[in-house]
Amino acid sequence: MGYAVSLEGFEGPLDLLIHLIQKNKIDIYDIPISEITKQYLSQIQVWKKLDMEVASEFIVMAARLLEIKSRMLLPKDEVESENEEDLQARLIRQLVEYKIFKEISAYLGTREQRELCAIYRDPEYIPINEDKEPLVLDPMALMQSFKGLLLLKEEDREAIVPPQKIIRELFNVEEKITEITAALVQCGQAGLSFSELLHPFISRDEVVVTLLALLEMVKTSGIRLEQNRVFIDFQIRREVEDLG
Amino acid sequence: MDSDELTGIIEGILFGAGEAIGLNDLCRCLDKSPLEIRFVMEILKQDYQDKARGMRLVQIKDTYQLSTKPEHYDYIREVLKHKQSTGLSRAAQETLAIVAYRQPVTRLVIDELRGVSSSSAIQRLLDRGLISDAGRLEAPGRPILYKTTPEFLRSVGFTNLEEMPEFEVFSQGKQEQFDLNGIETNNKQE
Repeated sequence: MGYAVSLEGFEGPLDLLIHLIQKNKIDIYDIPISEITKQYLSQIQVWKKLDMEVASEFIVMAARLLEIKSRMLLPKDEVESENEEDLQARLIRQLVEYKIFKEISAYLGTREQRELCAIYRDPEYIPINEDKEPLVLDPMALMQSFKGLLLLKEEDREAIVPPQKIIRELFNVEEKITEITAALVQCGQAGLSFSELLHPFISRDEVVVTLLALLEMVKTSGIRLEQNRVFIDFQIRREVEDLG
Repeated sequence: MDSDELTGIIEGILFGAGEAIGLNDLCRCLDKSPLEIRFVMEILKQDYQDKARGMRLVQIKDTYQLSTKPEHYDYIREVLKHKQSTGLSRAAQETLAIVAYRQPVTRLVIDELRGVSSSSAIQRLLDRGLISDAGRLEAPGRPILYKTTPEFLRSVGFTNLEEMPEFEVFSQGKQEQFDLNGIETNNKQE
């Protein structure tokens, strides 16, 4: 497909045809096809001589013009003459419509030029203190969270044993699923808690992979996750029907 | 507050905001009905038409914004060294005209009407926020439909799509007359 390259200011084949029609002062509804086709083709020849690449749309239109012209030269039976009129009528309809939109486009263009002369202020951002809803907190819950945090810190401290070697840790969800499934079979109906799946030296990557594995299992292999409140440990159980 | 004071407050709000302010926001903040606000807006709009005033009230659908008057542009540019943004290419302009009058419309229809491929023109119009997606046509391939945006209305100075001259105005070649009657004449010659 050709780019919409405008050749000598023509937006496309319809534009060129309208130019030729206006230049020759022809009625758009009564186009002398053979003359217009001649001029159209010679324009394309000019471009080719100038070594310009002619967009494919122009060539398609040339073919359409030639088809209309050749049908006019052929002896007519009824079916064919209908056909020829269709082609010509279609071209005329296209030209008329395109011409209207050219007018609209010129009209909108004038308005656009005028509006480009209006200057707008950039919005001013004034920092305004918004009245925020007071936060309702339960002191006990806050203390619980803090305690949990302190506990976590201790575990973290244990975990941070300076590594002697840097080993690339590789975990993948499939292996983790196998691992968790085995653990679940072992513990039977009681199920497991998420924290039980994590060992003290677990890396962040492995925690993430464990969680991903669990989510995958919820989707595919019939386990259920239960949590009483947000932000606490949760239970992992196999679905009852799975247990048979 | 009386109507004059309300007019002043709204002018202040519009100046302070810079960007377009919705009718709803004004109603809510000022505790007035849409009817009252619209009334004040009409007064403000008319006040600005006085040649002693340097601003105008731009209405796009139900939003309001202040701008300078296009006819003062040459003077303002002298002072501000304002660099005018460029207008649209002819290809983009034609495409925009088709979207404006045929929306929602597919690329295929635009290509057909223009007789050339319009994909790059459509992309430019999308980039400039003048047209946007309007869902898809329930037809084979589910092609994207395009419609014009409020930014289009601003770019050509219409309050809403209904304000555009009817398609028949152009198909009957009466646009010259419409230009003179309907819209202020363009005093800036290129």
